[in-house]
Parts: sequence; C-alpha cells; structure tokens
Amino acid sequence: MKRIYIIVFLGVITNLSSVVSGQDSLKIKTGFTEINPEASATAAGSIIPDDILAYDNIRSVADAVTGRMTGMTGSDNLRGIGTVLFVVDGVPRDPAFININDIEQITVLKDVHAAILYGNSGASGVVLITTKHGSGKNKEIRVWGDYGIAQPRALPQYLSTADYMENYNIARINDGMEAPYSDETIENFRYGKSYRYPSIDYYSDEFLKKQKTFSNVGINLSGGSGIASYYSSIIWDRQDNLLKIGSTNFQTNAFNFRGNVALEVSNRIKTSIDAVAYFSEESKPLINGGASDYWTEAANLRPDRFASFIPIGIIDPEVALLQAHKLDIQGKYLPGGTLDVMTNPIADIWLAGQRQDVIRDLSFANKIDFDLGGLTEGLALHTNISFDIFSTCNQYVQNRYSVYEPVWDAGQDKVIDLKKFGEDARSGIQQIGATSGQRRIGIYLMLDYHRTFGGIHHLSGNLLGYTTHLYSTASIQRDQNTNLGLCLAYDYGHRYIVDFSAAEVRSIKLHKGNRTAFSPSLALAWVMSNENFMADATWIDLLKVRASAGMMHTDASMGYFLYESAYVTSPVPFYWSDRSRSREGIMPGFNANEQLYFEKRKDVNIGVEGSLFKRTLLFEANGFINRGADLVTRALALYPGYYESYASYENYGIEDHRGFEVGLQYRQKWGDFDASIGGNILYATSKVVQRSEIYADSYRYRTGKPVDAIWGLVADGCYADDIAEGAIPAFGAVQPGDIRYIDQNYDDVVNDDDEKMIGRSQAPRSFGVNLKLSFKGFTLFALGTGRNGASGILSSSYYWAQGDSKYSTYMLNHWTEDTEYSATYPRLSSQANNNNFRSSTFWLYKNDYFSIDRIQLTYDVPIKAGNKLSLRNLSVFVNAVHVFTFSPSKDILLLNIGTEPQYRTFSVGLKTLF
Amino acid sequence: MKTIKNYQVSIFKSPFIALLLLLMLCWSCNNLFEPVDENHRTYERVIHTPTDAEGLLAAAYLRIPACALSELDAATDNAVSNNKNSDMLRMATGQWSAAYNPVSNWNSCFSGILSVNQFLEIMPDMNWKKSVPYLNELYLKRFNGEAHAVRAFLKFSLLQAAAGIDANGELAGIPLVNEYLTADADFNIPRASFAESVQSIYDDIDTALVYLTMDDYKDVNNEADLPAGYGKDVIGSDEQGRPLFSNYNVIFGTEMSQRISGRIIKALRARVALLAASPAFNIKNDLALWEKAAEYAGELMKSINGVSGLDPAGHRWYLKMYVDAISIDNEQPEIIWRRGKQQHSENEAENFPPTFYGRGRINPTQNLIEAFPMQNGYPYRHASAGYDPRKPYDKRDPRLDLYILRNGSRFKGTDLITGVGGKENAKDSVANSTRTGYYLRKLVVEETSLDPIGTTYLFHYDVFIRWTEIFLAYAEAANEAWGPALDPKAYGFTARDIIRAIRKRAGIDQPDAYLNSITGKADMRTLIRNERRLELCFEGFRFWDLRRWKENLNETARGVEINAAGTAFNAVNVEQRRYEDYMYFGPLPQQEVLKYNALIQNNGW
Repeated sequence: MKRIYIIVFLGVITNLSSVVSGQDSLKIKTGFTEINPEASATAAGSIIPDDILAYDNIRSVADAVTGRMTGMTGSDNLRGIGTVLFVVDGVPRDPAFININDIEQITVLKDVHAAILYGNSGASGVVLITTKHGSGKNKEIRVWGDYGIAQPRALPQYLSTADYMENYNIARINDGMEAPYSDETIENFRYGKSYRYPSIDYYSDEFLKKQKTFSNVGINLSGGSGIASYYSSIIWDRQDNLLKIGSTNFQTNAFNFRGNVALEVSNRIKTSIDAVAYFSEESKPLINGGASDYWTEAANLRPDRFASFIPIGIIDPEVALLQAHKLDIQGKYLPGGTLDVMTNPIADIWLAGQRQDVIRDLSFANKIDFDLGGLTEGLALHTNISFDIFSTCNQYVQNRYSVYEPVWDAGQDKVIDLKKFGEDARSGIQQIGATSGQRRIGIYLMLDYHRTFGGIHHLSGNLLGYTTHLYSTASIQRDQNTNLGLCLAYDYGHRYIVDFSAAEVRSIKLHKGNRTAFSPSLALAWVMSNENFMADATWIDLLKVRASAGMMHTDASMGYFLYESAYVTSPVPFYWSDRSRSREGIMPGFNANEQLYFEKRKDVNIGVEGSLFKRTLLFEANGFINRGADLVTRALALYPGYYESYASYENYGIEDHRGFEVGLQYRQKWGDFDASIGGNILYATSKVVQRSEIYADSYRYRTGKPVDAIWGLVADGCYADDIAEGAIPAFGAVQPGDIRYIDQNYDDVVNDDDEKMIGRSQAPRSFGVNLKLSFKGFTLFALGTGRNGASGILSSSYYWAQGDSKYSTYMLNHWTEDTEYSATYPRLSSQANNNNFRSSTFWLYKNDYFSIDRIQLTYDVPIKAGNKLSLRNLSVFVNAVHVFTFSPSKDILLLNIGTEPQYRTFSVGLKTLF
Repeated sequence: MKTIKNYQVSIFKSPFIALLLLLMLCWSCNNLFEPVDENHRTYERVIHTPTDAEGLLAAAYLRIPACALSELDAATDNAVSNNKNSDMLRMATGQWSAAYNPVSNWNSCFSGILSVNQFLEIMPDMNWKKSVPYLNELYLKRFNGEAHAVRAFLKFSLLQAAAGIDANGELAGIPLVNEYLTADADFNIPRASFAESVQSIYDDIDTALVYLTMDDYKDVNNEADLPAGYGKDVIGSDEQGRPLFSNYNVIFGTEMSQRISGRIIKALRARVALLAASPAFNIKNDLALWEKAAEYAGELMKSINGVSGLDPAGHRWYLKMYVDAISIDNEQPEIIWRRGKQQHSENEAENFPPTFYGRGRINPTQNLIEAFPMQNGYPYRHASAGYDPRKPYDKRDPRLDLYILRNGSRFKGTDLITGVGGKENAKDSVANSTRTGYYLRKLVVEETSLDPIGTTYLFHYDVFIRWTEIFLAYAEAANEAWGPALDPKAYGFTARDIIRAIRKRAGIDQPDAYLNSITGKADMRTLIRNERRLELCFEGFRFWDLRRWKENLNETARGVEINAAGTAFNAVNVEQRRYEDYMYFGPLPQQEVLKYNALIQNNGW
C-alpha cells in the first residue's frame, strides 16, 4: 500500500509528440528528462541540428527554428502570443551564445500543458535546447569550416548636395520663404569636384566595402569507454567590418569552448560536469565618443554640411593653424567640421580611437542521476546545479581632435585660412563603459518514475523542484523563477493517454499571502492507429487526436512591490534659503493593492497528428485558444488625470489569442533519387477583451481590436486648390500638396479623434516551406518563409523629409502643382510638418513577403570504408542565404535606416567526421 | 508501526532523499525566497516621518509655476520660436485643442492641491518637534499658513488656464478640491462658478495670513519686531521673562526665506484680484472688482512707500552684476519671491545666437520692436516721434536694446549682424538662426561663454513675483476704477504716477511729454497695457494678458529683412497666428471631460 501511495505522488514528465518537422526524431529531450514521444498528449515539436547541418549550414538557433517549426513565427515568437522562453539544459539562457554545432536537440513546447513546468516565465511558450554530451559508444571527431562573404542587401540612397539644395529650395518656397541656394551655388555643387563643394555619400565605395567576409571553424570530439564519456568542442567565429577606412582590426571574433565529462560512479549513480566559455570581442571605431555609430551618423549627416576632411596639400602652408595642428589623417588630411558639428564619423574612424565591445559568458553545471530502482522499480532521481556568469563591457581610449572649416580663396581651389573648433587631446586613459553583468544559479531536483504493469498499464510521473535566480547589474532584485511541478501520466496500451501536470508557482513579487498559485492542466490523447479496428489499415503508421487545457500563473511582466503603496521623490528637491536648505518633494507613485495576484494564461488546444505510408507523409494540425486574463495594469480610465499616480496596480486586462497551425511533410524515394517537401502555416489572431481606456468616439477603443492594431488617420489624397472644403485639420495650416484626412466623426475637425485602426503589425498568416532533393551524394535544399496580412508605418527620417533633415530619394516624386495627379509624396516643407508626418494610411505599407531564406548544394564525397585517416564522412557545400525576397514592399523591407544593413551571404565549406 | 519506522530510516539514510527534502524545506523557507528590500516609501512611512510629510508640501511647492524665462511668449505676438517642433509654435499656428494643450496645468496643479490636502490632514498629529512644545506649535502655524498659500497659488494657476464661459454659457471656474481624495472618492466634481473659485482662493489666502503675519522671513532679536500673533505666549520665554527669539528664528527666521511669507501671499492676492476684474471675467465691468484689485496692490505698495520704493534696477535685475550681488541677507529690492541662485547656462544655450554656440530659440518679433516707444516717450509712429525708418533702432526706449538683440547690437564684444551677410546669425540661414531678425537678450547672461573649450556657468535665479508686476497691476486697476489721476484711498500715488516712474526708470526722457498728453482712461489703458507688455516680456505674462484683456490674439508675427549695407529694413510676415474666438479661455483636458459628466467644457473646445 505504501509503495503505491508513493507512486501516485510521482509521475512522468509529459511525453512529447514527435512532430512534423522533417525529422526522424524519436526521443525527445526536455531538458529535465528524456521521454518517448509515441505516447504523449501534448503539442510539441522537435528538431535535431546535426540532421539539418548535413544539408543546410545553419549558424544559430534562430536559423534552425525559422520556417521549420510549425507554430513559430520568426525565430522567437510562438503563435503570435509573445517571445518564448529559451531553456538551455534546463536553465533559462540566451541561445545567442551557443554554437549550433554544440546543440543536440531543439524542442518547442506549444501548449501551456507542456510549458507549465517552466513556471512563470514560460507563459508565452518554451523552446528547449539540449546541448551535446558524449556517449559511451563510439569515438567521434568532427572538424568543419566555412568561409563566406556578406553583401548588403540594400543601402539607403540619399540626395547629393546639389539635388538636396534644389529640393530644399522648393521646400522653402512652399513655406513662403526665400530659396536659400542660388542656381549658381547648386551648379557649383553639382559639377564642382573639389573639396570646396562637398557632397558626401556615406554609403559610397569611398567609405564602404562591397562586402565583408566571415568564417567559422570548429572541432568537436566525443566518445567514451566503460564508465566515462566526454564531449569537447572549440569553435572560432570571425567576421570583419564593412567599413573600408580606418583600422584593418575592425572585426569581430568569437570563441566558443565547451566540454563535459560524464562518469558512471556506480551502476546506480551517474554524474557529469559541464563547462562552457564564450568570449567575443568586436573591434570598431569609436564614433561620437561611443554615443553613436557609423550607421546612425550616416543616416543623419547631410551631404552638404562640410567636407569630412580637407587635403593638407591645398591649404596655404603659411596658415598658422595648419602649422600648429597636432592630429591629422595619415598626414594627408585635416578633419573637417563646423561650429555646430564638431565631430564627424569619418574623422572619428581615423582619429577618435578604437573601441572593443566584449562579451564573456561562462557556465558550469553539475548533474547527478541516481537510479533508485532499489527503492522501487522504475524510480530515478536527477539533480542539476548550474552556475553562469555573463558580462559585457566596452573599452576604449578616446582622443579628441579639432575640426577645421576652410576659408577658400575667391578664385582658385585653395584654402587660404582655417577656422578651428574644438581641440586636440589624447587622454591616454582607458575607459571602460557600458559594463553589465549577470550571474545565474539554477537548481533542479526531480524524481522520475516509469513503469509498466501487466504489459499494458504504463504509469509514469515525476515531481520536480526547480529554481533559478538571475542576478543582474541592471536591477537590485534577482529575477527569480521557482516552481514545484508534478506530472502524472497514465497510458493504457498506448491507446488512451491521460496526462495531468501541475505546478505550484511561486512569486516574490506579490504580497505574502498571495505568493503561490496552483497551475493545473490536463491533456488527453487517443492513438487511433493502435486500436484493433485500425489494424487492417497498414498504411496508417500513426494517427493520434489529442486535446489539452491548462492554466498557467505568471508574474513575468510585473515589477516588484507593486502591492505596496509607494511614494517617490520629486526629480529635484524644493530649495529655499538660496539652495542651502532643501526638502525632497514626496509624490505619489501608486496606492497599495494587497490583493494583487498572478496573471493567468488559459490555454485550450486540440490537435491531430499522424504518419502515413511508412512515414512518407507526416502531418500535424492544432487549433488553439489562449486567453491572458487578470493582466496587471493601472485602471487609469477610472480616475482623473491628476489621480493617475495614485492609481494602484490591478489584475484587470484581458487579451485573447486564437488560431491554428498545420504542418505537412512528404518524402518519396525513386531509386537514387530522394525528394522531400514540406510546409507549415500558422494563422494567429488576437483581441483585446478588456482594457481601461476612454475615448470620445467608439471606433477609437482598443477593446475588441487586435492587440497589435496599428492606429492612424485615413488619408484621402492630397489637397489641391480645395483647401477650404471639408473638415479643418488641427495639425497646423495646410496648403496644396499636404495630406488630407477623413473626418471620421463628422465634427468638421481632423484631429486625433479621427484615428482608427488601419492595420495590424503582426502577420496573421505566416508560413514556411522546404524542399530537399538528393541524387547520388548531391543534395539541394531550399527553405522559404512568408507572411501575409501585416502592415507597417513608414516613419523614419528616411521617409519623412522635413525641417532640415537629410533628404532621401524616397521624396523625389513629391507633390507640386505639375505633379498633382502623379505625386506619391506630399509637398516638401522646411518646417516641422505635423499634418503630413503622422501615423496615417498614407504611410502604410504591406508587410507581406515571401523570402527564399536558404539555398544549399551539398556533395557527400564517397569515402572508402577503413581508409587510412579513419574518415567516415566528408561533405562539401556552397550556400546562399537571404538571396531572394518577393514582396510589394521589398525596397522598404530590405532597407535598414540608421543601423547596419541586412546582408545576403554566400559561403563554401566542408564537414568531416572521423 | 515497525515497518513504517524502518522505512523512514531508510529514507533519511539516503542522502539524496534528504537533499530533496531540503529543497522542499527551502520552499517554505522565506529567507531564501524574499525580494530584496527596496526600502520603499510607503504611505505608512510617509505619515510617520516628518521629513516625508513635509515632502508632500514640498512637492506642492514645486508645482507652482515661476515667471522665469518662458517660451510662452512665442505663442503670442511678442515672439516666435525657431524650434520647428516647438509646442508654442504648434499651439499658436492652429493645433491648440483640448487633447493637445501645451499650457495645461490641470493635472499638475490638482496633483499639487491633493498633495497639500493630504499634508493638511496628517500635519496636526505629526511629531514636528514635540520635545519642545513651543516649537511644535510654531511649526504647525507656519505649515498651516504655507499649505493654504501654496494651494491658493495652484488654484490661481488653474483658474488662469481653465476658467471661462462654459458650454452652458455660465462663467465657470474650477472644481474646488479642499480635501484629500481616496481612491473610492466621487471624482465627478463639477466646476464651481468663477466667483466661488475666486472666493475659495481668497479664503485660502485669508487662512494663510492668519498664520503668516510676517512680511518676510527675518531673524528677530527684539520684541517690537515680532509680528502680530507671535508674542511671548506663543514663542515662549526664558527665565527672565524675555521672549525666546531663538524659537521664532528657527521657524520664521532668515533661513526660511524663499518659502512663502505674508508679503508673498498679499502679492498673490493682488494678482488674483486683477484677474477677477479683467474684461474676460468681469463681464459687466463691475468697478468694485477693479477697486478691490487696486486696493490689494495699493496697500502692498504702501508698505514700501509707493513710488519711492520702486527698485531703480527693477527692469534689469537679471544682469550679472545684480544677480551676483544678492543673498538672502541682501536681496534685490525688486524681488518679492524668487528661487535660489544657481549656476547654469541653459538660458544661454537656448537663446544665444548661433555663432555664440546658442540655439537662438526665442526670436522677438518686429511687432514687439514697434511696441517700444522712442527715447522721447512717443510711440514710433507718432508725429512727434522723430523716427527714422533707415535707422529704426536709433533714439529708442533703452529697454529695446536691453531686452533684444537686433542688427548692429553690440554683443560679447562684436557687432551682431542679422541681415544679409550675417552668416549663421543672419535671418533664416541655418536651423539655429533667427526667423525674425532678432534674438533674445533679456534674462540671458551675456558674460556666459558657451564655447566647448571653456564653457562658463553663471548665476541665475527664477522669479515668482516681483514688484514691477504689482506696480503695473495697481496702475491697470486704479486707472479702471478711478481714472489716471485720482487717488481716493490717499495712497500717495495714482495710475499715472506709477507709469511715469516706470518709464522714467526705463530711461524715457523727462519730462515725459507723451505721458502728460494722455488724460483719458482709454488712452491710459492702452499705454499701461503697452508698458506691461514691455516690462514683463518673455516672463510668460503676455499669453494670459491678451486673453484677460480680450485683445486680438491673431496679430501676425512679423520679422525684419535687412540688406547687407544695413540701410534698408523690410518688415515681413513670419508666422500666422491661428486662434479661434473661443480661445480666449483655455480648454479643460479632453480626457477629464469624457470621464466626468459633471465637468462642463469651456465653450467651443
């Protein structure tokens, strides 16, 4: 009796289904344990990077996941609900620092039922990553390397000085002012090639290379004998910088060291030790004292402002400032500038110094597995203690330099005098900035039980105690995730599966009485293919229907001490007695609410999955409804504006996400020819069900609309000579060529009250397709992803040319009286134009695309068995990544403004296995 | 039983099971699983900690707007801003609405009022200095006075910005909130009438004056100087029966200066009365309201002996030599209430012309230039003015060059050029150039250097109330109540006397023939309003003055274009003003009107 009593308390971690991912994976590693996917009731999917690497040279977890996992959109969003939690070897960690070659398996847990053991922070889904460990079986050595080039997919195109001046003149005339640039000046800038007429294109081949290179080499060794097994790897990643000028040291190097050793201490105890070190160092120029970077500056500095540098050769040698100068560029140029721009990125690159951005990540884990079969058959205990240290900083020695404004000779292109701004100074002091660090302790203990009674009753369960503490320099509070989980599963003859899991979630963010919450979930599955009545249908390998429902409690989005009242101090104190006396102002932060409780995620899933014709066709389909309830918010619409800072935090908001996903994979062999094609699609939509808000017009309420709704005015073309007609815009006086908006509420004024939902920022439909063709050692692989139904608003300075900002080619087809019917851009203005430059359908673009993300041709070189090198495998490949994108908004989607460009890459490489 | 015992033993013999149990124990062990104490300031702490409680009052003090260098004039005919994203520019050019209101102080002032009300609730029981009962009582008196005075200031600001004819045609004031509101309070509070709102301010002022009977905070060392209500019985006495001046001086001494004292409250009262008597709110032109305004200002001026108390440097108190010289023991006579002195260069960074590394933000208009009379006192258009259009800045009221940088001004050792050939400083040449041909000189300290090599930070202070405002308030009210030349209350000064003194101080030639020529109330009104415009320019008055006077809000802001020789001056339009008629009164916040049906919006918004 007692034994059974204990057994009931144990359980098995939920079995996870094999999913349609083009993989023949059988065992699924959950980070805590390893289970058999055949009999599982939850929605999950798994991939094995090594299998993918055989035909697709992915570089990261993001590459591995994107387009391949049913239910994922992009690399880190599940079902549009939110960013998933990445759990690496049982502990939440950033997957960016793990090399894909070190990963054994990636699993996505889609329903709350499966994610519930991860507690709190797993509310938007969990991606589990297990790293490689040595197996006792055979020795393996892998060596691989690749080399490639990365080319910008698109670069911003700004107007030259002459074109800028022409258009700026139009803008000024539009504003009723005089044109500041004469035709002569413009012609000089257009045809004058000297430094006297600067027209700087920061994206030209004067400053940027056509492409940058990268490489990746690595080796890993694994094996074992008898009681010990090991895994060890060293990987070096390198890429250089697109900048053509300045130091050749501008590049990024990352080293990844990983090793683990497992020992069989006795026939019932196994232990292993893991150690990981990651170092990366990016050398780059110190731009604007570290406050900026090249791409930001390039997107903002107008071409006409100044010559970035002035050749010393054209300066009159008698100029005193020239003789006195200390810093110059390679002895040939003086840095250029003006009164209000005393640094420039080009001079910074040469003179301001170099900066290293350093990332270090160390982690260490100890695992012990006890076989407690002696206590009761099928029982095991696992412990895992891990410790991570992560730190980043940048280091630089900053030099200051003076810039010079030339005074030109009236006739010749000679500089007869200089004006100097700033001063030359080498500080010689190494600065260490932007330091941040994290350390994480993770502990879990799990009792695990699997047993089959009478050959037909499969009982399994586990009991898990789990805690991670993340200490970060950014916060005084440690981010804590503590969880007590229980899973119980009963499987009758691999036909009927009942699976109950529950977690007792704990939060230190809540008032003492409310710190724990019970999160249960239940999943049921019926494996129809194992029924006797289907025994004749031999073409069905697996057919399973399943359903799950669960509720998770989470505190992930809350702050600390929100349940207590808080008063804050004023930004500045109240002073008197000529500031010799002061008193800090005490202002309300928020009122107390001791009832504040966890947010809830309620989730219902139904699904079907199967395999037909001896795994020729694999399929999976899931429908889901996910409600976030009791979302913590301040119900500001219930209080006057002046009382908002007293309003307490409450469990108030409700948001729904619902949708479905379908995945299919088909594989066929004809002799030497092996083809496989697959795809997955996700439809996901959302709705705000309850939110504290108040608007004058019903269409402005966010409630009832998607969570990701885009709000704006509805544009109705541009004004011509009909300004007096219709509603009056409230964003400043308009003139012909300004955007006209629809007055939604017929109050004869166009203002914020006329904003309505004009789109969604998150695509409701997203999909991925893959194709693999093999013939006699050659494999061609392609992966495409796409989205449909989302929009975006153009709002960067590249598209909104106003005031004195830099002009891009985007505004060339602007409104004038002559282009009234063909213009695609409103009239130009040298002022801030609040009427035109605001969220509206005028700036809306379709964010639909289909992109061929990856293409690779691989050749497996035939190897003679038993060769001298003991070489078991050798393959070479060429691949192309992010090469083709099809979209009505391709130009917009491919262009990065103010940040490093998107790249397309081409690489060649080889892989060996000994 | 035996089996159970053996079983337990076997469990505890296994160290791993023990480890698991340890984890379970940790579960309930709160020391490991507690948040780090962030030492929050909770409500309980605030009501038990005197410094925190006084912080509630301090927070309300901080909500009182100062008449410091203000961009608000850029929303009037006095100036424009060269900041293309300026809120003032947006407001003045047609974007002002109940949803977009850069001059709204609704939430800020009501927050301050709630803070004061909460302070008044917890103040009586607080241990300010219970070990010395006399001191504790004195603290209570000062805090009571200050709290009511701060509330009066905040109500005045609200009234100025939000009072007006509401949608029902009633002259409405503000909701009166004289108690702290808890979260379950009924927030649907209607606006009191304008008269009730004014009375509520007077009530707070009267209460404050019961406690704050001293003009200024000054150390007192003899019995005769003790203000009313602060005798021996209140401040305590020593064994010889002498008053304990030290008790008084701790609470009301010199060290308390720059907190609100009796004189400051009376100055506020004059300000309130002037608003209440003004045409926008005094619809029937009730002369008794003007009289009240004149009396409140007049009584106060009498305390400094009227015209002879006018500070000779009162129109240029912000110059470096004056600012450097003052201290709490040696105040500038002009100042009634000011903030502490502070070294910074914000005003200069904002307003210096570009070649002096400034952003040239506030650009005075040609309209304002034209408001300055000639040195001889005549308006520039007057037949006797002697104005030369080729030398428009010659022989002008010296205040023009004091307050405004124009083409040819000597500034920091060079001649400023804003016309053709002035490079960055020329009108409309770079983003930081002037849009009108003028830069601001008032309230910026010329001696400041903004050169990145050797930036200097010089002393400045912000002013809440200064005497010139009170003098002008008197002149305005007395002229309306009694005409330019009558002094029925025998203060010893008339409206004309005040204006004469102010113009004389400015450097207008004496005798002031133009002033002498003005005899009618209406002409005098025009002159007083013009003097007020000049004296108080760039301190945030004009925007509200135009409204309470119901004057034209839509004078187009103009600038001047000057040729390279500096001989041709061509006035040009720079910025249209687009105010509607209903904009004489500001809006209530749109969100509040939506939320609370008892709150009636002003007409038109």
